[in-house]
Order: sequence, then C-alpha cells, then structure tokens
Amino acid sequence: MAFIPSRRKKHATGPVRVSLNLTSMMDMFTIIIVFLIKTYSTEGQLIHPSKNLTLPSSTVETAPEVALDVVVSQEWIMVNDRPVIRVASLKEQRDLFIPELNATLLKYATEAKRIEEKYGIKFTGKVTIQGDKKLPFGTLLKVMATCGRSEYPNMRLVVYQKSG
Amino acid sequence: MAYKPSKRRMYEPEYVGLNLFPVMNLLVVLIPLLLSTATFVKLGVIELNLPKAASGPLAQQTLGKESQRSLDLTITITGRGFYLSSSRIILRDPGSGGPTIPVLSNGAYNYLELSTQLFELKQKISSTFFDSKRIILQATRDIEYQILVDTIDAARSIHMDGKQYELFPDVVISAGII
Repeated sequence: MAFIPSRRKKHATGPVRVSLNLTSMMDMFTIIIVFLIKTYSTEGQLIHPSKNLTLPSSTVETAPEVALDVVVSQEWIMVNDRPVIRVASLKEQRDLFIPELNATLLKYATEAKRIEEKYGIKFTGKVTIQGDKKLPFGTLLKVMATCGRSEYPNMRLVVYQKSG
Repeated sequence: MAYKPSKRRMYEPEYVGLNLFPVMNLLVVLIPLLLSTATFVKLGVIELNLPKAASGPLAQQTLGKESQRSLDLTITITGRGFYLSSSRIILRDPGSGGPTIPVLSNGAYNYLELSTQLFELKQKISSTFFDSKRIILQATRDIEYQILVDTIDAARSIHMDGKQYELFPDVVISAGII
C-alpha cells in the first residue's frame, strides 16, 4: 500500500534557510583584486597630465620626477598650471626666445633659489615639458630654448609609456 | 501502527555553506580603494640635454676644440624623410639624391629602417669617437611632436631577434630651425 501524504503537513513547511551562492562572485573579486594590487604603484602619480592635451607615446622606461611643470597645449603655454602666453601668438615670431615665458621662469627660479638658501633644497634647474602630440617642432623648440636660457637647462619631455 | 521513518532520509548530507560575509566586506572596501588609486596610464620622461648653442659663446669655443674627434651624428627630420649626417658627410639616397630614408609611400616615416641604419653605423664606429652615444636631432618647423618622439625612440635603441640593443641614448635637440 502506498504512503498517502498528510494533507495537514502539506503547507507547514516552516521557514527555510536560503543561503546565497557567493562562490562565483568571490572568484571574480579575487581576480579583480589581484589585478588591482599588481597595477598598484606605491608612489602614486607625481606628474598629472593636463586635461586639454594628449601627450605623445614613447617606449621610454624612465620614471617621471617632480619638477617645474611647463605645459604646451594647443592653445596656451602654462607654467605650473598658470597660463603665460597663447601658442597662436608664437607662430609669427622668428626668434626662438619667448620673453613672457622667460620672465615667468625666472620668477620661479628666484623663488627656488630663495628656498635653497633657506631650507637647503637644491635648485637643479629641472623642468618637465608636457606638449601636445600635434604640436609643431618650431613651437616646442622655442619653449625649450627659452627654458634653457632661463636657468632651467635640465629638460624632460613627458610622454605616455607604450605598453608592451 | 505507525510507519517506521525511512533510514535513507535520516542520513541526507547537510549542506554547510562557508560564511563569506567578512571576506565580502573586506573586498567591497578594498576594491574601490585600489580602483581609486590605480594608475592606468603610465607616464615616462625623455631626458634631454641642453641644446649646445643656447648656452652661449663659451660652449661654442670648447665645442670647436673637441669637435676634431667628434662624430656629430645628426638626424634631420623633414617632410620628405630622414637625412642622416655627420660632421664629415651627409648620407643621401644613392638613387634620387633625396633623403637618406625617404617616407614610405603611405606618408609614414620609416622608423625601422632608421634604427637598422643607425645600428649598422654603430657597429662601424664603436668607440672611436668621444660622442659615440650622442645623436643630434634637427627638424623642420612643422614636424609634429609625436614624430619627434618616435624618432628619439628609434634612435635610442633597437629590438632585434628578441634582444634590445642600445644605439644613441644621449639625444640632443639642435637649437636651429631649418
């Protein structure tokens, strides 16, 4: 004789413990966290690329360091994020020397030298140049020549590192 | 008479789930933290030496004395291609008399050929000159910055047979515009 299920017990299932199956999520998180820890650099970013320009890419592996920041975007030449002169106004100029940029750089140089005297932080004349990748060589050269004549002879060009 | 409970039902294995909540809490905190500090674009710098002519007449004088044994290898980037020259000779394309390495037919610069030629040159000169690591770059005024950087890359080192060879790592940008 077959077993007849009890009709009274049919709905009396009571609270059921449902547990989420988190295994796949854990897998995903583990992979993400390993990736993020691998890309994590302890130094952080010392140079922040400006928003309105695209740096050229290169295969160099030299890490950037902190220095005076000269940005040459499509429109403005900026020193430490303060606009100095419009790039368009340099087009006609034949001379390599940019007086406005020179004045600004000299101001920073005197400041840096004053700090050197007071606190002993050496003034090395380092300057990093961030240029837009479409910038014509003539403009870039004018900026570099001016830096060289304004107590900042150690120039570095900031680039994106090509991966692989 | 009551039914005897089945033995099979009694030994049903019970599912025991790991308590993953502490781990989840940790991950939920760690992932945004690492994401916010992650640097996805890596920056690098190309170190340049001062254009010699910009440092005044004194540098010109000393340069004049030393240049007897110097190579003064120069790449000139023009719209038509690369010219390679040294203090003695300008290399030209033997056929047309144009640039040493003309641009490709699609207008792109032939960086590979430039690297290869510089590599051959490097084998020949080895260390007879005091400036055998230095290369001078010149360009016409409308050459784009990216082309300049790519040329520097091509002049600095070459990838051959899975190995990297150093070519001319000391890049000097010439102060003159042609």
